[in-house]
Amino acid sequence: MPKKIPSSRPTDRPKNEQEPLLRVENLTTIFETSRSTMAAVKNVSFNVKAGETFALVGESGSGKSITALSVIRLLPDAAKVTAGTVKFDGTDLLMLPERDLRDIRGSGISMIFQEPMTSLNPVVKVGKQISEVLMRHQSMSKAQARQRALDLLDAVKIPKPGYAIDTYAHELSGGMKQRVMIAIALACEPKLLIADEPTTALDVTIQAQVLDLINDLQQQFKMAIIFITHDLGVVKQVADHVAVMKEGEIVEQSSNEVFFTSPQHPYSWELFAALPTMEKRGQPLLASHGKQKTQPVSYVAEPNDTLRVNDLKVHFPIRKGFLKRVVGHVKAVDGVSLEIPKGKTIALVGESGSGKTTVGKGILRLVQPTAGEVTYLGLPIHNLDRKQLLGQRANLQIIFQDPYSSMNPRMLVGEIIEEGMKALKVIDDAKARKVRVLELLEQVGLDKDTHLRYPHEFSGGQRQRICIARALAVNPKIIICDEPTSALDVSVQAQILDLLNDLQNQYGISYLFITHNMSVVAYFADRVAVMYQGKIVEQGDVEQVLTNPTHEYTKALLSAVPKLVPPVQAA
Amino acid sequence: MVAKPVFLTTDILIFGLLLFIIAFFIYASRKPHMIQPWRQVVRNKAGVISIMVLSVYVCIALLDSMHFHPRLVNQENQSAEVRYSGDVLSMFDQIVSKLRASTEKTYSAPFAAQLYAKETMQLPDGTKQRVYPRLSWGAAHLDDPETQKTTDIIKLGLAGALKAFIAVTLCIALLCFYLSVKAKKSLRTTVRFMFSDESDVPWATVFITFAIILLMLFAGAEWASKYHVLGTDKIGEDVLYQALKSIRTGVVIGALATLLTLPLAITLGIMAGYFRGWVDDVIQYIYTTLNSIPGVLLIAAAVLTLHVYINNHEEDFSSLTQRADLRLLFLCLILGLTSWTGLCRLLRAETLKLREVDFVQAASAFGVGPTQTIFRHVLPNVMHIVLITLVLEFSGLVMAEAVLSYINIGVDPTMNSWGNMINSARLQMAREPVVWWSLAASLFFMFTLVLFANLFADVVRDALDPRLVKQ
Repeated sequence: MPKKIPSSRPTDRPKNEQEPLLRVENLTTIFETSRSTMAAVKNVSFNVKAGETFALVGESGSGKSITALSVIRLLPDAAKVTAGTVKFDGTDLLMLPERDLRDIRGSGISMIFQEPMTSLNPVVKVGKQISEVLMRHQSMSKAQARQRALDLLDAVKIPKPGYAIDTYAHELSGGMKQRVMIAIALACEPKLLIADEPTTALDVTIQAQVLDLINDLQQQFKMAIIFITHDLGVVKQVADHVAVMKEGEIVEQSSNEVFFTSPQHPYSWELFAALPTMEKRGQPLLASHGKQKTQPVSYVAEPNDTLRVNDLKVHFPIRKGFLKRVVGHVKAVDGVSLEIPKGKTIALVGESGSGKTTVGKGILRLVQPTAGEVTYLGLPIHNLDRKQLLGQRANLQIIFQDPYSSMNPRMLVGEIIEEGMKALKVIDDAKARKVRVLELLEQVGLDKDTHLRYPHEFSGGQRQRICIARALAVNPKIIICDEPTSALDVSVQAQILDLLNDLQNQYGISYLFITHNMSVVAYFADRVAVMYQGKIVEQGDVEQVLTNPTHEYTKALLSAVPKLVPPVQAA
Repeated sequence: MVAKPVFLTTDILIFGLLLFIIAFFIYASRKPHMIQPWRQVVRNKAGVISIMVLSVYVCIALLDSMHFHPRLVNQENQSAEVRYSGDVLSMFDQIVSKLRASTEKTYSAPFAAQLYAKETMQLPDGTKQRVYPRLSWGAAHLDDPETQKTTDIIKLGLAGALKAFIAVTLCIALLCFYLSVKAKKSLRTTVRFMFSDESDVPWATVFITFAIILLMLFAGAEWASKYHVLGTDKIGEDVLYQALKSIRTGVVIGALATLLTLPLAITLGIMAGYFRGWVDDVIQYIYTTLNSIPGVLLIAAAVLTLHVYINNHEEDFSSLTQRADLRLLFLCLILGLTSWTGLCRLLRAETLKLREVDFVQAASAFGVGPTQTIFRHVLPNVMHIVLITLVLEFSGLVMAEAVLSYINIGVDPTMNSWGNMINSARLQMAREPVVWWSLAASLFFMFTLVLFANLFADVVRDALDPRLVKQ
């Protein structure tokens, strides 16, 4: 044991002020299957001091969640800590018997998870879920626990806690559920809170509220937080210390100020470079590809090649009773007007439930619009019969958000790309189709032998490339991109955005880019339309709307986005 | 010609099904995502054992499904035209002809040398005495069964075991040799690889199961050649023969009835889920109505209707066997008609989910029509549910046959089936002393089939359930 360096601090200070609250040293966690072992966390060391926020940043699969789960020993069965020590408040957690550890979980360390929908028990009232924890750890009586639960719901700023305490999880919104989760986590006033992507599933305005709340509670309860996230904007806002993880290792650890002004590790620079911002407009995000930026093809604008959406309405009937009478309507889209000119990108922004996806599907007639007009090339798309619509299908295509559900897992990639060409008779000859498939794969940057493999063999980014190839196969003029990058890591998002940019420049494709991510809008779109409760509240050029919003909702939305100015690398 | 083949309807169907399964595996072997789960089944010990046991049952059922009219041997006139017997026999009957032919007068216990009931016999000296008479066939080769029987049984058993041992060793040696040639490695390394953990198939389990099956077959054959291994029934028929013949009935009912549920369940389930609206309403009303009628009542009504039809059209049926076969087929049909609702519901729910999934939406954005979408996108993605339900339902139907025959609305009374055996056991159990072997034999054979079918279903479910797929 190395001798302690005599500190200059007064010796009468309590011990835990010198010693960090959590000291993790050389932690290694491996995943074992019958055939192979894989290290998910490699030799990770970090300290968390009492009262500070420690952010673990990294892309998916970098081992940040597994690190946290190793600390409180909640690992899945296949995973095992093979080396290292985890000292929490002087006790080695890895040596503790499971029985004693249960007392520490909840009262010493607690955890909140990403998905508030599934972390709460749907058949137990939320009040009972909170008081259960209190009765288990602090041996309160039922009445005491209920009173404390009320106080906690008040502390997490849930309006009308007296009412909320007797509700079930499904009666609450996503943000409220996350507040309840936080209340449960705080029930026993833990010294350390592990927050695993607590705001990723929430809308940006709700995210801002939850982050504020966590900050307030941290001041109030003086607890330390390990904040796991992939969002650098959030990190900038909440963290005191930042650790960047890559492939199971911490590649850089520094304080907030240092990290956001002059990061040390090249990987941190890569992360910053991949962030889309207003300043990077018109240049590729990833310079490392070495590709020259494609120049936009010039074309003469014709009056007809703008897609016009006029007062589009999609109402879903609410049916009730034995005969399924229509008792009302959900106005998912309620009078939306848009124009998508050739070769331009129109961003449609809004929070979940604002109806932006339904607009996209309404234009394509994947859902039948209730009223309104969609005209393209002089044709009333909203009014075409099945045959006529088939003729327009090739012009209008769509790319979905979730790359995991947008391809049939039982089909080969080649068959998937071919499907549209076959159905729309773009290319009738089977051999010519094969050639075109290979061409498309090359265009989206995938290997040629990809077409003989199944979708599950690919990563999220690669899958999204296949989806793009599938849409391109029928030579579309307009592609509706429904949150194509929101399920992807930033670096992969950058690749996809670069690819979409290239394709637009080459073929003059227009995009209707549906997203909730303001920085992607700032980087990628020409015009932006802000949607709120089925209506477009503001519409205009990107610079104008983002810098000078006029509508209250747009202002609220923009102020909720965590501000982040990436550091500039000295040449 | 030695014999004139007869094609019963169920025979055709069962061989059609076999061809279909073979075709499926040939097709699947070229699609990695389809063959992968079956590899997992073979890797599992319970999976391998149940496949082997089930294939013994299936082999017997298939042999018993090749029917023919045997040629009548005309001793007096060799040149006369060839004539065939009116009886319908099967390949299996031919193999176990000795069992079929060797009937006694009435009940006899397993391995008995005498009848189970006393008879008045006239002794050589003219006096009459009530004794247990010797069997005409069982243990007839022994002079004094009292003293010789036990050693004779052990001797025959050992002979069977020896034959089984030789056969097993030969088969294993041949297999190892074949694999080593195929893998182009030395015999030694191949064998070592086969018994190591890295081998995909648990060969040790395979060999042990194989040895046990062969041991039972050979020892059983040795004993059956001299004794009634499972006794005889009231009219002196060998119970082992009855139990073995019942295998076909059980397998046919299990397989055909499940098969008949499929077209209904798949078409209606997917249609209801995919088209929704009034199609969904109609289909839902149909299966809700069908589900609310007690199944047994429906089956009883259908079987009784068939009875009336058969009695009114006796001239249409050339033989008793054909009549019994029609009744069996009809039973399969009606069992199938009453049991499709469960699978239909599952498929409807899954299709409802699938039609909203992005890849189906993408297909409609490409203008792919509903028929294509269903065949290309929906059906392949619900196939795992179909397969799981199929194997689970099989054992349920085998047992349903037994229950239905017990209350006399099952298969024809002339047809061998476990249900009929259990039904006849009602009277046997009431006798004093009790005749237990008919019931025991049918229960043992049915239990083995159902147990291994269930084990197999469990393994298949684990292998096909995408949520359980281990990466």
